[in-house]
Amino acid sequence: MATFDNRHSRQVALLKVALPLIALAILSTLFLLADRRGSGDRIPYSQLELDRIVAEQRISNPNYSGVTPEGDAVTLASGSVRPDPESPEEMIASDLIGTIETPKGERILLSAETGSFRSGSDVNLTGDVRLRSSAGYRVESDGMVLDAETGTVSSDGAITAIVPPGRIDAAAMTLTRGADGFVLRFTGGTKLLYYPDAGKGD
Amino acid sequence: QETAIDFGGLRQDTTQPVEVASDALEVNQSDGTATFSGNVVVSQGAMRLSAGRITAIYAGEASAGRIRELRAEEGVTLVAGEDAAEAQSAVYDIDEGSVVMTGDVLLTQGPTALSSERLVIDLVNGTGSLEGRVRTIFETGER
Repeated sequence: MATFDNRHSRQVALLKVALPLIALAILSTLFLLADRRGSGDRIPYSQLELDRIVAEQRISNPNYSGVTPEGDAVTLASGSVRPDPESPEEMIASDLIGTIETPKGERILLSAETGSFRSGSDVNLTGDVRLRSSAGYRVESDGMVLDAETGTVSSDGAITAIVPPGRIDAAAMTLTRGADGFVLRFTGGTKLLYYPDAGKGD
Repeated sequence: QETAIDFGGLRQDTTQPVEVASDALEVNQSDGTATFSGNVVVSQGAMRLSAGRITAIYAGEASAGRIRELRAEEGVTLVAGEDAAEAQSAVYDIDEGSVVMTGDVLLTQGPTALSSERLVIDLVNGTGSLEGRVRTIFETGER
């Protein structure tokens, strides 16, 4: 390296070497400190999960929607659907949620732990089956059958219903579509318990 | 003319729970009308009112769930203690605690029986009044 007599040239020569080195150092640490989040995203299924999906031919969060003759929209969504091991042509859905909505906006919400799609358009709902209607009716039963084509629901067992006036116990229940809205029919011996003073205060 | 009757057995608190049992119940979701059909029995306290069909009429919004009155049709029988009244139809206003029975009313209290066109029963203070052509039928035979 040439030597210079005056201070200025020596400083310049020194900087000519030091500055690039500093730049190099900054540049290299840049990638060291860069945040890793974006890189290397794995698909959200573990290898075991993938094998199970393939083995059971499981479809995860499928949904179905259709329209009934009266123009009500029927939708069904579930966590996962897989063929029934015993009878492969029938499917079993887990944590099923269904809605039936009339053009006027009256809604029925159905939920059940499992739903099995037997023949035709019937869906057998079992496991903590609940039906709620926008008119404030809540029906609970162990099993219900939803006909997804006509949007009708029938319970295959005793039901308890919490309704605006009080509480209804009945042996069976069917929900069908009347002329201007849903009709809930409780049969097989029903009992309504009504508390007159409830809500008198408000 | 009007005949006042004492319904001692019927004085009761009208805020007691009302139970309506029947073979079937149909609820129309859009207007909330509820129709009980098939040997319907309404019971509240000591009163039993049975009829072929009963329709529940709501006070105000159906979703508020306040039943204003129960309209009983197809042959109504009201029993309380040893008083019994039969008629073609009846309206039980729960909030007011009044039962109005109309159409061939036959009221039997112990041995005596009275018939008329209309019977109004006040459940709060256990009184009633028969209106229209009131005829008294005495039990003449020996018991």
